[in-house]
Amino acid sequence: MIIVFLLLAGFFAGVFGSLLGLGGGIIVIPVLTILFDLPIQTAIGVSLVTVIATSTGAAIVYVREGKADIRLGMALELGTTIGAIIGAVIAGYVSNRTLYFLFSGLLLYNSISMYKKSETEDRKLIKNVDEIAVKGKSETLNEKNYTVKNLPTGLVLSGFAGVMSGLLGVGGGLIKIPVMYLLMGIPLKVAAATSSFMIGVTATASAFIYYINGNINPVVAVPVALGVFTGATVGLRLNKHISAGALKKIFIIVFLFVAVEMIRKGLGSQV
Amino acid sequence: MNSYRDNGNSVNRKQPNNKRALNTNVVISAILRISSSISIVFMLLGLGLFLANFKAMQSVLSYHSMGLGSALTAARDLNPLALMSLGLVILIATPFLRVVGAILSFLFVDRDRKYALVSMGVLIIIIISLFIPSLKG
Repeated sequence: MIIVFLLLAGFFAGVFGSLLGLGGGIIVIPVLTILFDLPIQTAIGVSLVTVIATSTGAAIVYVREGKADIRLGMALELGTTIGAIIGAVIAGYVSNRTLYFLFSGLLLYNSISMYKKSETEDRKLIKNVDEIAVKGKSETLNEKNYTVKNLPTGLVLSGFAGVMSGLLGVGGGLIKIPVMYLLMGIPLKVAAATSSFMIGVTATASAFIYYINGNINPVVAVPVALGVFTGATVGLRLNKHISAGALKKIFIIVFLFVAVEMIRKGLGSQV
Repeated sequence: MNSYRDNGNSVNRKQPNNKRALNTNVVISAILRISSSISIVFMLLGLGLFLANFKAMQSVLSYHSMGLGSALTAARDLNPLALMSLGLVILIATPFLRVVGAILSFLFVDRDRKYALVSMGVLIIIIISLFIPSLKG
């Protein structure tokens, strides 16, 4: 019975992950720890697998259609993979309580940035119009008509996203997308697609470490991963029909609620 | 018409070439699709057999990922856990395979040495990560 619930959990993580442009880890970890009462270490191992599944599913489409900038992605992966190793190693020395608190912090950051994004998205778009006009940017994403700026800073910040990934088992898209979009001058859609493409590689480095240490429970991870694959496919189709705005508002509230739950769990867990 | 498609010498020029970029994109996309399909087959088979043999109400928490060697041996006897573990290993290895594919594709399809080197760097970092657990002892 629990397997069915795990499949469903993965399915919803896949659907909402692909709809909101998240790796799915931020959904899977709270579900596994709060609803299934699994230890956070187990949840993180499963979440890394989830992130790889989401990324692979999305990248098959984005890369084939040329929506993801594979060269930029590869370059930034230098930063994220080094960060991911550092994160996975740190995770071995950090108490569960700290992990819960860090994860709550990440959820709060997510809620705030999602809230801000929906507020300021229009203004930013207007601000970019001049730039777009100068570069002659069109909607054909196959043509690379933007220049990558601030690559060294971008690499360092990607490294930070990698640490978050290794430490907390999330994709780190919510750090990478703003870094690419705001700092490096990459169009938002390309940034989101490139981030989806990248998170698989970032997670692979940490996932290997978790796997070798025996920290990935196949009986939990497999149903979730299968659910994610199905959910991500459905999500990519739904994408065209659903307003992301309303969905975002719901998730801001859910994330805030979950952040409080995780803090409570952290306070109750053994140090 | 894209006249310099067949001209390998024009590659080093820093300009977007859709057809050429598309080639590595197609390669990477194909690797991802094939590898994830194989992984899904293993996972489905393993999970199906696991559910079919699920007798004792053992807590799902008690399971751990199998070592690759023992998983390979046990998978021949259709051990559900081994099949699921192999599916997971293939899934985890999928991004790794696409980095290897990217190196080859950048080198031989796109003839873009710079990004072949960048991809090589990523590959080396991932390989280093494999040795870190043993360093921790």
